[in-house]
Amino acid sequence: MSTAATLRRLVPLALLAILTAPFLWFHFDTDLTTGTPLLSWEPSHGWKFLKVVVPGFATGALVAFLARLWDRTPRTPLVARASHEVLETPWMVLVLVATLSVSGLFLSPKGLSMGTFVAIYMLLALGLNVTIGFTGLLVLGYSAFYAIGAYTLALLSQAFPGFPVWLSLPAAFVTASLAGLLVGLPCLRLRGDYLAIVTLGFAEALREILRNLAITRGDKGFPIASTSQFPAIGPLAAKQVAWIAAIATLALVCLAVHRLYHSRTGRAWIAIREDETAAAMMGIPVVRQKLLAFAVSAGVGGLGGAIFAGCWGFVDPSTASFEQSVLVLAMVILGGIGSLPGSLLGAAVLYLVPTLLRDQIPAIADYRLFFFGSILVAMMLLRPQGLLGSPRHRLEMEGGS
Amino acid sequence: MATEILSMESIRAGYGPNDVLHGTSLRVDSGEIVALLGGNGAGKTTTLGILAGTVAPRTGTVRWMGKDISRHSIADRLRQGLVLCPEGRRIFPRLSVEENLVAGTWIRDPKATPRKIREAYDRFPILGQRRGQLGGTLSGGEQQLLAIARALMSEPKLLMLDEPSLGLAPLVVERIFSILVEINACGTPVLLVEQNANQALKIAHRAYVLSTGTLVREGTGQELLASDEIRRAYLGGD
Ligand SMILES: Nc1ncnc2c1ncn2[C@@H]1O[C@H](COP(=O)(O)OP(=O)(O)OP(=O)(O)O)[C@@H](O)[C@H]1O
Ligand SMILES: [Mg+2]
Repeated sequence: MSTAATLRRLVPLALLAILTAPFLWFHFDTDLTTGTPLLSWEPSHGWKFLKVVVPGFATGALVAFLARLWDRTPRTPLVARASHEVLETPWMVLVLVATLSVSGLFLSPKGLSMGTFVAIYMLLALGLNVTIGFTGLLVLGYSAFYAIGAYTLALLSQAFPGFPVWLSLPAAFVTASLAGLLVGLPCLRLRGDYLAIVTLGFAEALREILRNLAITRGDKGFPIASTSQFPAIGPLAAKQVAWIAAIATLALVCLAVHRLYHSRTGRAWIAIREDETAAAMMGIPVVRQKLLAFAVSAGVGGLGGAIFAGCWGFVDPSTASFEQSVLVLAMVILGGIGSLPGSLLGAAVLYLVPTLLRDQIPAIADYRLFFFGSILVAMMLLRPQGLLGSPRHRLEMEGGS
Repeated sequence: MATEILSMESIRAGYGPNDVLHGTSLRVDSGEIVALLGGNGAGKTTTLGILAGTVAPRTGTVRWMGKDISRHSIADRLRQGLVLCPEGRRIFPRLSVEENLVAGTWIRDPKATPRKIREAYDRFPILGQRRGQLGGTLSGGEQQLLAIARALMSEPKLLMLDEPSLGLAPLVVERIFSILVEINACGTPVLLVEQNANQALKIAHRAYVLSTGTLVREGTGQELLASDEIRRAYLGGD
């Protein structure tokens, strides 16, 4: 696919953005004393958003364009072998996880919680990669499933006091997958990027619902009873248990996703990504396989949300924010669409860099979206395959066929 | 002694408000090579789509070994051995040659795949040499070989091909057609859609000529080759 074709594909999305932009200025809220919903026009709301996002994308495009002009050397033709993917073995994943796991125990509490967040984001990036990378389905509202996972744990802890986190994790996987199936069912029967728009809308709607339902306690957020969080076990503090649980879940999901990718199912996903019509002609049940991929992806997102809730002890509607979705999307793209180690790397870089810089440069928190937007655009134009992208995507972007 | 394998009876089909096929019937008997000829837009690809299950008929029935399969899914038909090698080859450009072959085995027992891949490389050594190369980087002729090899991976009991000679040099076309004769000699009937009528009629036992959704001629390959009318209309004949 040429750059032009990529851009053409973005046209409907751009149109949608223009149409929905006015809604950024609306503010939907509940009067907490009377419980009446309030809809107001918030002048600063939308501008703040645009002020950050638009220059971000524009700068990214500009930088990438300038660098393109500079880089006139012809690209080396691809050695067209898919054998590169031998690197994507469980070994690499295991080494990474083991290193993280051990080193984490020597970290300060602050470092430990940062590490746990890295693991959570790695989980999310992996999960999103299943739809975007493996199956070729664009999802723009992935944070919805993260939020569903987090609120599953929160609501379970409220309904059944002392509900153990160990049972909440699988429950979150199940509820998020089911939500994925429900959302995917109507739009995965269609071709095209409908899933992108539908999930985007779903996440936005979900956030408003979370803010306005009594049971989710609105904007104030939802503190989780300590008995339903990760507990301290023996010599290990609760934080350390959370860390190890996050790492272990990550390892499990890594291996499962890797296995799936190289299984018959994974081959069906790739075939669908490459050419949906041809895949259907091979007898692959396209709709069912797309639904399966999306349900797995959503479930992993839910798992990430539950780990977050179990270690942070507090959830609020911002878990379903668009920023959260964009962040995870940026991680997948930075690391390399379709690449497993790429997702892990992308998540680590995009979580750690802004977090570590935040203390030195306080302004960075305000310009997070700017930063992600720039990265997305620059990567699309300069290194579309991502840092550790698989050679297949590289080939596509360089118009090899 | 020929028995009927596949047939369609009074099929009406189309897209949107328009009918493309107006009550078309044809059949393929065991052991045959049948050619389906016709100009651009005559409805040849649509006909194959009806048979393979990618296009739903409005009326009429498709029979496979005497059984009505009009409502069967693509996968069901594949499992029964009704395999289509589609128009424009439709190989997966960013999958390796071998992965393309494996894609053809989706509806078959995966345990047999290694053996079938070896057989494919025996039959088409060039694909064996390029097993790791991405499909999209093969030449047009190699891509067509790959498309045929992939169709064979689905273990056809009847092989349908949509314009396998499209855009290929005469020498390569000859090679492709001799492969089809070879496949047929092993007992697999072949239904061949072609623009290249001259070549197709030479290997076909029987042929149909389709014109804007209606069968206008049916006969043996020899008869049609000899017919002046057909020569003028479809063979660009002198
Ligand atoms: N998916 C579709 N949607 C709408 N119309 C279609 C579709 N596919 C084919 N048609 C129309 O149906 C008619 C027959 O098309 P078909 O592809 O069957 O012809 P064909 O004989 O295979 O032609 P060619 O030799 O050019 O491949 C054409 O007029 C075409 O425009
Ligand atoms: Mg055609």
